[in-house]
Amino acid sequence: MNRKYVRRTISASSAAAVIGVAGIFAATPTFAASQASNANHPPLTILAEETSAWTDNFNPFAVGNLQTPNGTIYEALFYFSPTGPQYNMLGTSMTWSNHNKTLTVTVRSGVKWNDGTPFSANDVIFTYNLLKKYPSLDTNAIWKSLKSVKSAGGNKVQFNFVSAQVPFAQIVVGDVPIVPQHIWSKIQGDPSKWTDPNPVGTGPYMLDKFSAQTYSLKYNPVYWGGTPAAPELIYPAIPSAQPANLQLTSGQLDWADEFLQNIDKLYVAKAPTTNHYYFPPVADLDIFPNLKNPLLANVALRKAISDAINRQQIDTVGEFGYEAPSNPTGLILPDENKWLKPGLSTKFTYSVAEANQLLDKAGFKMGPGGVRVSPSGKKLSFNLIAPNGWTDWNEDETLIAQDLKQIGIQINVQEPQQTDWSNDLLNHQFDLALESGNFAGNTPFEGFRNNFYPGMQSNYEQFSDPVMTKALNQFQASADLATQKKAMYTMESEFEKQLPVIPLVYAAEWSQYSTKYYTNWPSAKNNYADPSPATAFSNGVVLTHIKAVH
Amino acid sequence: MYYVKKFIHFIVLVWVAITLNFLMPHLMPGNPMEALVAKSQGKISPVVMHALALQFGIDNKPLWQKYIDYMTQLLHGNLGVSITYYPVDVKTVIGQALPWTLILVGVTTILAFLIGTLIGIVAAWRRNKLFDSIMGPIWMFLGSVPQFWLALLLLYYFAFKLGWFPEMHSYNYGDSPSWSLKFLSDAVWHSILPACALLFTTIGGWMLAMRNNMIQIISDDFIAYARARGLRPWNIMMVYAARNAILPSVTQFAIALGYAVGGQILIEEIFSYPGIGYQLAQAVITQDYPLMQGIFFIIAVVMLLANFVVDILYTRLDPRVRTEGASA
Amino acid sequence: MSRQDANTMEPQSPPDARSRAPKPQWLQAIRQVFKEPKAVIGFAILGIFVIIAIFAPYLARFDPMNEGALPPLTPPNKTYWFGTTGYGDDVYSQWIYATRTSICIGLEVAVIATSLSVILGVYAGFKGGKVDAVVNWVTQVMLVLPGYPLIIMISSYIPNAGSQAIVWILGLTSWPAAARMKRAQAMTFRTRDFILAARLGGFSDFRTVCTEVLPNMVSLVFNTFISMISWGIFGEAFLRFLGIGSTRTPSWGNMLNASQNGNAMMEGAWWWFIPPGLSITMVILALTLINYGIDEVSNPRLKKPPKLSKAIRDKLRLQAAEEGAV
Repeated sequence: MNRKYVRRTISASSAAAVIGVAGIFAATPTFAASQASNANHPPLTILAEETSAWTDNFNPFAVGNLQTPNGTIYEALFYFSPTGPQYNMLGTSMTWSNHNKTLTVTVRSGVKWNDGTPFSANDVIFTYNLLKKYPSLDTNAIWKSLKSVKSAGGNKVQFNFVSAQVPFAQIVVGDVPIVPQHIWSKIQGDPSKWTDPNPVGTGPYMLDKFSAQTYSLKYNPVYWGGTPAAPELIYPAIPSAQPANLQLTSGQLDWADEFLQNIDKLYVAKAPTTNHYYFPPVADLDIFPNLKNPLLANVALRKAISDAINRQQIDTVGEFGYEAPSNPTGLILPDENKWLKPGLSTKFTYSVAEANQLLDKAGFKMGPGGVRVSPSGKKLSFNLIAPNGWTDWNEDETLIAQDLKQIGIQINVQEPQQTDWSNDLLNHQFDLALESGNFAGNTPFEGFRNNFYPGMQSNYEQFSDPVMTKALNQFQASADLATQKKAMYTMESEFEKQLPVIPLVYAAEWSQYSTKYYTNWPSAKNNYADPSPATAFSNGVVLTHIKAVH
Repeated sequence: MYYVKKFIHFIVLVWVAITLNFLMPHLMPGNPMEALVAKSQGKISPVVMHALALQFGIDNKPLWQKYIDYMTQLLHGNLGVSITYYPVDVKTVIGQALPWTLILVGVTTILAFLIGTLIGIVAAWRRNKLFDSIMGPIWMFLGSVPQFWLALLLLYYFAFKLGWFPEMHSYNYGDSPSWSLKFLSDAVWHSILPACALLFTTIGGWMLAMRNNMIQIISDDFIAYARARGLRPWNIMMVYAARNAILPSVTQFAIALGYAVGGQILIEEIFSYPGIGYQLAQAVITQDYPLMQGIFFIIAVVMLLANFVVDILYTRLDPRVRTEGASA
Repeated sequence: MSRQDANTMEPQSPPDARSRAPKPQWLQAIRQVFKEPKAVIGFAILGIFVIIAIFAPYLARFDPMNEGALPPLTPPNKTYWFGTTGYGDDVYSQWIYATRTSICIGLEVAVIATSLSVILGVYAGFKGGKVDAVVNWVTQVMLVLPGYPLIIMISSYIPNAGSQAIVWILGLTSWPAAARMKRAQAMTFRTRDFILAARLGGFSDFRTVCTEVLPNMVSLVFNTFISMISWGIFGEAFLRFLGIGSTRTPSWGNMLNASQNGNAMMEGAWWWFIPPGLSITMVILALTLINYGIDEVSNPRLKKPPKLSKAIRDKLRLQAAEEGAV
């Protein structure tokens, strides 16, 4: 029904960040003595993914695995929050050497798998080499950048990189779940085809009961970080937005990532003291122009388009007031404030007159039917694509078309099926397209690289700019904050000058939480981690940071 | 000889259905990886494409090769691995969903048939009397209501607003399927609203069909004869008239039961009922070819089987058919 | 054979009569239909909607899709007769235009599906032999494919599926059951005297079908046509509700879809989801009534049972008594 068609959570789980920047270490939750499900510590009911039925599959490497065992059952070495902090999970420290081509990670000691077997650096080395042996497990393509992973003696593991790619190391040590050698070495054949029905991990929770309708996790009594506040997690299978919204508003969900219009009235007002939401901006909603189109390659045209769009209206009418107008630097503010080049403007001008002037100056003359014509005689008429049924984006498309009509640009709104739209993007078969870009990360680097580095899959617009490319290369070769900042400033200026994509509004991530029994959820004031229950690895961080009310 | 011919006919139809079943998804644009990446809306970066291709075994084998592989697998009872629920195999997904659909849709189909037919019999018998003139319009009206709209209204008022019934699922959290009284009553409780949506909208069709058939039979001479002989009206109605009039309805009923296997896409989704209809819609949207093919396969075979059984049944009940229309 | 081939489509569709008079008197038949109160009510309801569809531009008060210019979720009042949607559109104006779209889609689907079912069913049934065998095969295979999922799948081929695409998808997938029914009936004509006479008279098959067979199937064809309008309207609502196709044209299905996406029920905005749902119900009801009325008229066996004269009854009773005595 609507959910699979309404755009939902944008999450930056794969966005990476830079190491050596943040220094906040995970606070170890206090060890609460034996907790059973009682009135003060009831189970948490969580909606992270919509599905009509769960399947008995907890394989952490299966792409699109709805059960999201990563973070709750399985852990990675580190967690890099898109909001800044870095958390030590199974790794406790890391150091660069060999011109930033070798990373040495110290592995946490005293950790046990939830079946009681001790965890060691060998499990880590085994996991990484398993990904090398079975590329089907290597969902982040880390072995394209890695040369070898081996023991550096004792509890130390050494990662050797092909070239200096400091930010990418965050994916290598932050996005790979560590699995037990004593179980995974016995799997016959390709481990990606194994359903892992009894997952053995190091995380704060372990599988309790499973049925196709609901599965539950119970706390792991041997967890290295102590006992989490909620003794039990319940995951009901909810197939679409409508039942999910009913469940949420009738108070049957404690933590969810639902898109809900009129949330203040429909959700918060039902229980104003306990029902809360946090919709942090995690990316830009951009217009991607196809820069291989000779007209759109003209920066004056892109600037005119940008000037003529009423971003406030897109926020209030198209996006229900949840997604504030974005800024012309390519940064996601305020989370990435510390990377902002001093003196750079963070506001778009909205001026139809200025847009018209720009176009006049560039030689686009008004033609018949109120559509401008380029000096070479081409009409300024473009297709704009967004997936069919993502109703908010479809609404935005209409608004954009109306805005651009005023400056003599004709927009043909198109709504291809989701798959066709994504195909068109990947194959660069479009004039203008709506898509999220510049995903926020622990640093803005990954967002810039994905969208603006030549040859990247998400460089849908085919931007290739020597200044930007050079700055990106400088950034990733360095582990030094000052050097990185300098490179970042260059990228921001270049972005503002070139406008390779046209940011409209911030894309928000949805999250709702109830403080009836548990507090200390990520919020605007306390954004210690990604707030969505669907984001792998960060969910584990949140679940070990929430506290029982009583 | 007649049965053998029918059976061969059945087998060939099954083969055609399987072949079509194989071809259709492959004629669809796009592939499941792209569907998954697009569906994830940024959660899965395009970087995973390579690993995905390896996981899903997407390859560029020629179509005929895939066809042979598919048929071989099928002969071994292997329906492949689902992509949405990767790496769980299709048989497991169907096995989980099918019982719920069979119970909900199957039982309501039977109930609708029984209730509708009974009302139809009585309405025809008391034609244009009070019963007929009340029942006719009521069920005709309900039969005209879009099923999903009725389902939404029921869900909203009786589950969300009044809280009399559960909003979703087929049993409570914490229960596990068993034959205990507690579980069964729980399951029945959960199925009432969706069952009502299905029942209210389908009884009318059965009623009208039966009423029409009955009226035709009633005008037959032998009923007049029976009446004249002074047999008890109830007896004539049920034994003489209804038994003869029900024949066309029975064949439709067999086919409706066949359809029941396909589930009810919208009803199942609206009530979050873990059945096959929703899985199928989901499979089509996410381009989960193996799951789609698996479900289509089951539906096609059951449908053909239902048709086959109806054919055989008919020959038994009405021997004229055998000589008359052997061509079908 | 004809009974088995009774309407095997969705159980919601009205049943079709099974045997017919050889040559209905046209005008008289129409007059008779209008004597059936059920049919009259049906035609009256349908008439209202058709009038709304025709005069939509004159009846609408606002632009049906004006993207948020009006205050959202306003309950019905003097300005917004049916209130406004969560997106700030006038429900009344949307409903007026939606009526037009949905009625048109229903009619177009009916034309396509009925034509196909007549061409394939009647011709094949009448002709027999190889043509019949092939058509019958195709029909049987089509009947086995699950309807709605098939339609969803075909729809996903067509990006931006507008009303026309939906019409063709629904039209091209809904003929088999009706064709099967027609084939069964056409088959019975093969051996009838007047057909044989026509054939002996040197009429071509086409001409025989047109002049001798079809006129005898008018009520069945009309029946199919009416059922297919229902199917088209239901089908459109189903697909739109699932979110398939463009959301830009106002239609009953799109209105329901939008109200669902906009949480109309949770907001208590009954004025948003009641009009489209109720309209679908009323139109389908009207069509069912019409079909029902036609049935009553065209099928002699559905006519009021003849009262046996007292003399015959007495005679029968005597006979029975005698039999009993033997």
